[in-house]
Amino acid sequence: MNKFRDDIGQYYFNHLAKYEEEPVATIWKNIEFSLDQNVRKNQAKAFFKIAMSIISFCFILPFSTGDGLVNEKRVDANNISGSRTNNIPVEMKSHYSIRYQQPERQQVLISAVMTSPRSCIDIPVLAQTFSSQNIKLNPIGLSINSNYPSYEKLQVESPSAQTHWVLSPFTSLDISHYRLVNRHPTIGSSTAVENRSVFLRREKQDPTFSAGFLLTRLVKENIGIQTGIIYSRQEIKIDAHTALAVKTDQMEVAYKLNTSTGYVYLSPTTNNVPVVGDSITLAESQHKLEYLTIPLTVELNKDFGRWSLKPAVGFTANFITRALLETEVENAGDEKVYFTHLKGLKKFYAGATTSVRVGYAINKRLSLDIITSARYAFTSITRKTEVANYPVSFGIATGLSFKF
Amino acid sequence: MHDKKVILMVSDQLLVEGCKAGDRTSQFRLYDLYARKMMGICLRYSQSRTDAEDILQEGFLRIFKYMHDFKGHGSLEGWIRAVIVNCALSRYKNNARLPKTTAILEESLQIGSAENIEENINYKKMIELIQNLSPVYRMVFNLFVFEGYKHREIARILNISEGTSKSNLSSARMILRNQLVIRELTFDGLAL
Repeated sequence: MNKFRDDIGQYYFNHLAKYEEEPVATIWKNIEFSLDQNVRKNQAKAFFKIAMSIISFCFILPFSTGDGLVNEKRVDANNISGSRTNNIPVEMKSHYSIRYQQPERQQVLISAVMTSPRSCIDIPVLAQTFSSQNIKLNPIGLSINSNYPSYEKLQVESPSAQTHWVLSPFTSLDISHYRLVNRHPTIGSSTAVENRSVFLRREKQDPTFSAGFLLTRLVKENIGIQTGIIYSRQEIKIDAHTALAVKTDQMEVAYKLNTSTGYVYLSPTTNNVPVVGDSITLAESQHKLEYLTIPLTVELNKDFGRWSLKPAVGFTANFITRALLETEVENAGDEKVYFTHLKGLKKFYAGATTSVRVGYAINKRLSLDIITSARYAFTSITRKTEVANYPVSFGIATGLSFKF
Repeated sequence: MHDKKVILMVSDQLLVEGCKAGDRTSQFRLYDLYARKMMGICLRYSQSRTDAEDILQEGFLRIFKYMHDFKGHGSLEGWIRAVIVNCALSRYKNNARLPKTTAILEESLQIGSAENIEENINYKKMIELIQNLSPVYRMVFNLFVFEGYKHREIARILNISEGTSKSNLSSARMILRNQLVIRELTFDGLAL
């Protein structure tokens, strides 16, 4: 035994080693508040990393796929006529990549194109390869026929260079959710203030329907700037609960129906004038929100024959165009009440979006798209309410793309 | 007894998994389960209740942040306790403005031994006595008596010499003993 524990130390150890004391309730509220903030920071960091990865990918890819093929000025007819090779099967997998079925030539060409796309050394190599071929471009791939006079015309005819705009109408089914953050972490207990846990328990979101169109302007062969307009309709079911009478901003007394997206004051016509502290029971309520979203994103386009992969990332401006709340007062003759305006609900919020579009080219101008997307709000859709509400949604959409 | 222990272990494991996944309900249950015990520890390491609450809050935030480091090899309570104590030590090191002696010490040294101490002491008064120690005495006393560290380890943790650690502990013991005399508190009359 420790020699110091045989007297005062031992005495204190015996009596205080298992001492417990109840901490104040605000500690957990502060912890919860900090955890929420950390979660938000982590999400923002993760989103930023993904965005930077996609943007990096967008900018790196064009420089790694043989840009030298489209430089017409550096093609010399004298070099082209130098040597000719007949009957070499060639397949163009995308606008930039060419694959040979003869292994030794595949090595030569890819090396030349990838390592020095803009130097003159790749031109004779290509010229030797293609000089005796008649190369004809189509939107999807490349086919070789016969007697193409020189390599020069291959450079002129670029399938994507003729396309500047892409219009993509789509419809989407989204799984919507929201992230709630308590605005008053240290005030009162959970029963006095309706906090995020109350709303999360009480409210259930139905899948959201979205429709709209996206317009893409191709600024480079593989990169486009995308915008458009998206309409979304969201429905929230609110479980039956009790609403308390409180003083309104106009110093009147009314029942307050709180939701995560705002609140309303209601005064049932069949009820007596309430006093502060009175309560009424509300049946299950329906809450509908309608949004218009305008995205601004950067989209990468990577073709794989008929298939294409188009990741995109950017920001959104969101306008809440309509908010409808429908409820029923149970102990006032089952009176139905409708509200078309919620206090504390903002008209605008900003967010970010990321998506991946997989396209299948039906013909030269038209392709069928499947889009998976995620949207995340940077700013809350509420102000001066118990909780800050940040909508989040994940969706899968189908649509078409018209190139023109 | 054995079944209860197994249930507790399973419960702890579920809580840990939930906390690692960021589940707020699990985090609250973990906090609810250990907050009172940890508050008792924080009170001993701090100068006031407010400081103790700050340590507790910061400690639990660290626990939730570094929960993925807990591999389940030891007891969960032991790991949580270690995090809280480390948190208290960090706070002590950050706020280290250590007077060599305190007014209490000077006053206490004149009192003498504690042979006739009356009863009716309570835990809170004992905690208060520890809180009234100077920070370094309090740290040395806690680490030696409650955590079971040796003077060599305490010296390394607090960045002091081994001799200073021994001296500080001796002084802390003397202050506590004399404070019991001053406040006419009992030495042996406290029932657990």
